[in-house]
Amino acid sequence: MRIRPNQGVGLRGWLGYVVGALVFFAIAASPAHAQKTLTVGVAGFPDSLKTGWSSFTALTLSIQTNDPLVTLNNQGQVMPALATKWEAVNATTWRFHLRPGVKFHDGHPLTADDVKYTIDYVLDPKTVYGTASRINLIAKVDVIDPLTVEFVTKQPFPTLLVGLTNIVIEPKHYHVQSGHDAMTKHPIGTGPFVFLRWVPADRYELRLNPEYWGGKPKIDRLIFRQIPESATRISALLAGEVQIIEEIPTDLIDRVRKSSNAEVSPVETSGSLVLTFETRKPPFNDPRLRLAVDLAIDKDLINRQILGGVGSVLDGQLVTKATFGHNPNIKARPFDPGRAKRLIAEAGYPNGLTTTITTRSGRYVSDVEICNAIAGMLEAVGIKTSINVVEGGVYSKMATARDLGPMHLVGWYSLGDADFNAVWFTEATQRNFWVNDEYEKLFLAARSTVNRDERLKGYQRMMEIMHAENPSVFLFGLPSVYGKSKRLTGWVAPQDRLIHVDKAELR
Amino acid sequence: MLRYIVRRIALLPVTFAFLALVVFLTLRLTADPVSLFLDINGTPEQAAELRRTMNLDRPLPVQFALFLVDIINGDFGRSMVFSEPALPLVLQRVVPTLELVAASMLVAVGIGFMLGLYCAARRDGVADFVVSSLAIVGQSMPSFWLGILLIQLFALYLGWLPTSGYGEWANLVLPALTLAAFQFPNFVLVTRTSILDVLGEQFVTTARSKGIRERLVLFRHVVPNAIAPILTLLGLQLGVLIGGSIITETVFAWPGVGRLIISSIFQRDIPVVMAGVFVMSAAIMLCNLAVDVALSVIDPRIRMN
Repeated sequence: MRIRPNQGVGLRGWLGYVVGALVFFAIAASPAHAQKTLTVGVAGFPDSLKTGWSSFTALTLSIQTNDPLVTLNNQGQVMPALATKWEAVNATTWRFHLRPGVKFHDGHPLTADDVKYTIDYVLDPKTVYGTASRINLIAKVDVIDPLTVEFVTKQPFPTLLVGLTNIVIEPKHYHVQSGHDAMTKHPIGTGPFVFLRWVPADRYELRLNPEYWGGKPKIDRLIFRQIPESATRISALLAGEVQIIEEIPTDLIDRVRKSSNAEVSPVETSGSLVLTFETRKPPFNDPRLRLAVDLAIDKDLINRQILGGVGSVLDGQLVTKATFGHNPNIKARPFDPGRAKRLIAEAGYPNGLTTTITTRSGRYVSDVEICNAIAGMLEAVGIKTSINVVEGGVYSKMATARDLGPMHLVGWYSLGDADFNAVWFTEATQRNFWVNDEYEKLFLAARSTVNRDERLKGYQRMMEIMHAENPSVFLFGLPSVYGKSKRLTGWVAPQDRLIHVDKAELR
Repeated sequence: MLRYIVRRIALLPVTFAFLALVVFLTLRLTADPVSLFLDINGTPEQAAELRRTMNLDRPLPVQFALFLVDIINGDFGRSMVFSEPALPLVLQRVVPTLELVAASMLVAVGIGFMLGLYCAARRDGVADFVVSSLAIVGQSMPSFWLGILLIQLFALYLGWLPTSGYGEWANLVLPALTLAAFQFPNFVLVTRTSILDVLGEQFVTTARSKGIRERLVLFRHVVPNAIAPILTLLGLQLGVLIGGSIITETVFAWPGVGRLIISSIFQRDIPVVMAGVFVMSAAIMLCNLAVDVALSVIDPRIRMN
């Protein structure tokens, strides 16, 4: 080995090279974005473009290329999409009228056959379609004519419409000709954007569909980028690399608020964060102790200090204000540690007790911080609480075994209809701890009618029962905090967490 | 030398089998993949179907045996999450990681070697003290923190480089520097020590006494003799980096294999975890092998043994 003597290059010389290299890279890196490219920074990508993967981000990617039959507006109301109107023929039959003249990206017209094929595909257990349970009471789908389709359900299925907002319609001809995997590799649909490129864990690129039935989108190119680290995601927004970001942690909200080119856009989702008790075993089989925990937690303080004021305290009930089934007569109990202490003494623990809260980390906004704050508040009334933070896989195993410890933190999403989160307190799910016969009956009754008034009355009564018995402490309506560039108009933070950008515009 | 290499290669399968067992057991014992993969209210039919396709209905030893046979055939199975064969998935994600590791190693070894050499040559000078202290600071700084600081400075404040992402040269600079910052101090310290060791040898004194210029003594006599520990360190660090760049990958949204494996672990996507662990282990073993061979080329004493 020969090493030539290096004449005259000292430390300063080398530093010069390094700086030179940096300047070179800096010049090479000057951004050259096309004018109408909208880039969205998301926290987590699904692992593939397979439809039915049960995450909001996965569905967000799917709805760019493929439309559902019906969709939700930002007030949580069901709106037409590929179906222009629908009616109940009888208690178990729904008829949908499809939008005429809609074409898939490859030019094939959309017909009732595609709808039937999609629903059959979704409900086939072999497909393993994550969100299939949203529509699993469908018995069969009948094609009436090319633009009319009938859904027959096994029993009255009041949440069918809301469930269908999470199912995108796929092209039958494409599945048949190219196989199911083709849809994952190169999705084809009727949506506002056309697939260009998918780089796992990095980016998803689409171009506009000029013939979109909902109107030609105002951006030429749409890019989703996965930026898992929230500090980086915010930097990318502030640097102008992306125009929309999701999941801003509450402690970083101020960084965006202070910037001149971006703003924060918080929205209340349909998710409810609750602290659920193991009511089958001591100590929390005693309703007095459950009530004491509820009274001992200063929810307003946590909302202000930890959630940055962007969440909302639930009204002493499972569902959020915007959810169908909310009971306006119930309010959250005021913070009352004195009464909590008396109740604990009454329940036979004058010297206090020791317990745990099980939680995952990073699953919900500030989940561990919230648990720590609760533990501190419980300690103040004599309940010594430790936090058991478990990894997702372990949590899931504990949940399936119905062994989550004395208390656990969990979020349930209603998608705007109480049915979707009230179900988790019924015996049929095997995820409940608390059992109440009247609640079970009301739930089944509300699920087996399509009469809205009757359903509403049922859910409101169920909320009363839960408020009285405290199977959980009802904490917060989960906020979702988005950031957006001030150049962007025509887009608001979505309460259903699905990012629609077909009306968005860049100045 | 050939016999040595052959013996090293012959041991690989045993190591791999042991590795397979450990990973397999850890994953199976900590959670049920079916409950993780299905929507929380997935139907029992869906669960049964998934259990059957994944052989989860068979006893554990049978599952492991089936699994070993598949691996020998190069088939790690289809990812449950991606619905694609696991191995190509992993190989696809290894490329960005290797790019990142190679770039950062180049920077780390380059800077580390130069600074180490400089410090050794100017031993106990001010520069030596400053560089050695900096090296320790650099190594103690958590890489996620440094990464975020670099983004603030170069992307947000100066606007020279993109904050994150993958695809162009400019995207590579910040993550490579971040990873290098953690690595180069090792090379400074090892180079310095190694050079100082050699400087104390008698042949150096002999060379100097012949009147050879100091610079020539350093590069022709000292450096070749001091290079072995640096190479050894390079081999070790490559292994650490291939598996350990995950934090940097996360901060810079770099689509590397580390992130793939972590997310697969959380989802109990066993085929991908296995393929990932195997590919990374293979890379590490091959790196070590390459370093050992290089060492034996450089240093005749190793060859003789």
